[in-house]
Amino acid sequence: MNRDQESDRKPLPFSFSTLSGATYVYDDLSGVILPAVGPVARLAENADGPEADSLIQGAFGRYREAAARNRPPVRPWTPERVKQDTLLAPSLQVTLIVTERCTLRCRYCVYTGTYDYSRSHSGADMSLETAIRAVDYLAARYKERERHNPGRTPALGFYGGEPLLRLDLIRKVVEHVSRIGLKCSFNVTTNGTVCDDETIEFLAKNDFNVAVSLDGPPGEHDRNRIFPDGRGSFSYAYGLLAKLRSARERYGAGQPGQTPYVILSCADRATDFQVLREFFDSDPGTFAKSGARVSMIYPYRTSYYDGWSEENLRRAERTASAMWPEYLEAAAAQDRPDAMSFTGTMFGLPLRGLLSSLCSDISPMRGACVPGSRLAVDPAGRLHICERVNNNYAIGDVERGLDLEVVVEMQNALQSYIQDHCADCGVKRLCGACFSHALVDKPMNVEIPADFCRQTPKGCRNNLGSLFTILERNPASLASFQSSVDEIEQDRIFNG
Amino acid sequence: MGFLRLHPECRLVEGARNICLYDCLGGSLASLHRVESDFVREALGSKPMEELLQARTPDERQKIEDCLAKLKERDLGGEYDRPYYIKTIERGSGPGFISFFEPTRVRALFLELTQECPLDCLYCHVPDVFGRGTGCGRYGDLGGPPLAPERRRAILRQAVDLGAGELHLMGGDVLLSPNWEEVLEEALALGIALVTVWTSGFTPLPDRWAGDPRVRFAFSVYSHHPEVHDEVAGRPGAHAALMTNLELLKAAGGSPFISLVVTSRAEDHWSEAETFYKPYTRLPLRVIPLFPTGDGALTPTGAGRTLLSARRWFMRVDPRLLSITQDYHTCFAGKLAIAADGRVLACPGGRKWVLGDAKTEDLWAILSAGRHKPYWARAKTRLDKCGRCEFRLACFDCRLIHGRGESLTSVDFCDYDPDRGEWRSTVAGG
Repeated sequence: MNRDQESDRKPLPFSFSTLSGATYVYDDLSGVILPAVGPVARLAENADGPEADSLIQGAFGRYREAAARNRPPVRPWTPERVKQDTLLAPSLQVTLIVTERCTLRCRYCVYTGTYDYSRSHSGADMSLETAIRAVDYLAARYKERERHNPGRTPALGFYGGEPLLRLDLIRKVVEHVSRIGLKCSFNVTTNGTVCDDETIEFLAKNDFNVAVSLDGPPGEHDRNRIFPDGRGSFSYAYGLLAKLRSARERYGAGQPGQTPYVILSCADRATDFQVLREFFDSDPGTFAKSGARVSMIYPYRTSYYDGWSEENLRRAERTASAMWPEYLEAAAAQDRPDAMSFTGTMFGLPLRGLLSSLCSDISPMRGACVPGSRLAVDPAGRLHICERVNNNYAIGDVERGLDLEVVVEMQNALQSYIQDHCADCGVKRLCGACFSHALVDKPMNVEIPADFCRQTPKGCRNNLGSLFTILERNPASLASFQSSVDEIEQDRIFNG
Repeated sequence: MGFLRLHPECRLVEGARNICLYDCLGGSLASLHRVESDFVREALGSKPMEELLQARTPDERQKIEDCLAKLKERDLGGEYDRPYYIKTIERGSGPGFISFFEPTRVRALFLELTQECPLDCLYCHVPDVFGRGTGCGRYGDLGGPPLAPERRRAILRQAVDLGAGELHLMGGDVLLSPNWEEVLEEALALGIALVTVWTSGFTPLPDRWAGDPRVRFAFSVYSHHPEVHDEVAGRPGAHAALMTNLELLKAAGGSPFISLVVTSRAEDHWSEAETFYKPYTRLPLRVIPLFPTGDGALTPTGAGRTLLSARRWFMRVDPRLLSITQDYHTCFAGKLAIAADGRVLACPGGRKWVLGDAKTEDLWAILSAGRHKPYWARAKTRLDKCGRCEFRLACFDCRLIHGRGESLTSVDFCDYDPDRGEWRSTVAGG
């Protein structure tokens, strides 16, 4: 399918409002946002009326033409194109799922059996042989990739279950990496329950980037993150943080001013965000430089919320909504709206993502990365798109490498689905749907959940209103939304 | 009068004193002078315009109202009943942009095949050892033995692996190189989307490639008057041969890249020359002002100043480039040049800007070592007064011309003072 064959169905612009009462109209095809004044105001009131076409052309016509000139055509994927894209992708990351065993039984875990198409808890372990083969595969890809993308350091991650149950394996992998001379960074995601002093020393000595799962104060964390016997795990996760900082100081590793960990918080619809904010903001020594990255649990294709009370189902939305006005006021008054306070991270990061999407073109693949640009390796040695995608769709294995034919089939399936189903969606530019949303059960079956498509435009409208509320009062904050990622990249490219 | 807001296609770039408005759709610039700049700055800070005007003198008020009328006339800005936020058009991320520029990879490769040329242009960088008297012997540098064909093929392959979609075959006159078509065919077979062949215009073009959309011939022209063109080119009959080639391309549907190099010989009629050559290409002509001064240096013509502010032809506004030019050099970034002897250069004419040796080093290893960084990162924002100049994101900066082939940082060619917002008188000569 090429540009000329794209659907005749065109999305309609939609309006959104800010706290000041101003109304704007967003046009997805051009990426332009105009104040609802004059003809644009008439468009805001009559977006699907008889005059709509001429109003749209009058308001956005020249911007749509300019955007269309720059937009690359939609082309079918081929093995050569996949290979080139994966070799040219900026990042190279391989995540080893070293075990499917876990010390906890978090209520919202995707392996609880309450999620369609996902596996259940298992005791599978990765063998050392498989891990070594995966590392050698990473090293070979890095060597091949260096000719296409010089100067980029790959990342090797360890995941689970609880990966530190396999410290024995991880040690040997790190030794192997050193032996073969592969320069890479190490990441690990942990629940903190098996981190003894020896483990912490190992992580610090080898400059691991540690992601610690911590959902908030004990009441919130222990509500969901529990041992099989029902005990909470807060003391383990929280206690780990100070130990990691001390160990990092002893080894003098890492970036100055950075903490040796990031906090990953999962929230569900019963989460009280005000309680989370009080907890994370009251302990700046622990959280100020790391922030807490909050993500809602995956809400689609799951029975997790079945039987919940209305009060529990609404608490997260209620408490977050109550915090919004205060965040917007603070963000409008300062230079760094996404600074590392809890609300700055929680609310600011999605706005940063929104702004980045506004500056981007419409991707025919939406938010999906090219399979193979990052890889997860399961205990059996099969390659997967990432650790978030259900494991019904292996895209190769450590013996034979990436299976380009399978990847091509997946890419074309998703692209065709999007071309068919998303033609008149008014937020294509802003949509982050990826394979984790779209892949269901075998055979090759691609379907983005209907709920996702219903909620995404509403979320985009709300976020646009929030972003513009901030920018109306503090246009300078635009630079800070865009800058900090660029600054890190600039520093790495020209000073690293 | 309500609140002033600029329209989405308009980006405002602040200088130390003045402001420049960049029209990202039309590609033009609108320079605002001090009185206008001060007003626009305050007005965009969400102050009501009526209130701001009341604080001005009648003379200032008139200038501001004229400025506002021009903004409306050119549809760059408008008046609103409240201080809406207007988001400007940005192109800086996303799949299309990433393929355009990536700071660790190559976008275009310049491959020098020969230094032979039938012309003797006043300014050219053909080396003096060929017996040609040139004005710029400092550019001439034969170097060592030429790159072997197998190694050249390997280097081409490496450039493609690094993302290069463009290849420029450079000379002298590329058509005088015995194996230029072999190189062209190799490049096309490797998947390079566009090969630009730089030629003198004097050597007859082969019919075979005249209409091929993957091949673009590039010429430098000096005037539409034959005698003037021939004088600058240093060869009688040069213009007649050039026109034969241009007519051939036109008949075949080709679209050459034409550089109108404006020397003092053509300063009085360069606009007519531009009009004359426009029908021969679908691409915009690149107009470069150039003539030597008394000390042998090259400097933009005195006409450059007028043209700069009146037509901005020395500048370009490309929304895709705006995000790059903040941090990267508009010319160096994304490019590598290979001299005939295999030296890897930051620029095909910059013989002192050596990054490595393609005979013994791979391109990706050179990039991995970061040797390209000082050049690619030499954005206008990092060049002395340019960082304070409102034209910095549109001003095309050729370090070869403006830095005289040596300096990465010299900006003494420019007679605009961004701190005062004024043009100085220009040194003329030649």
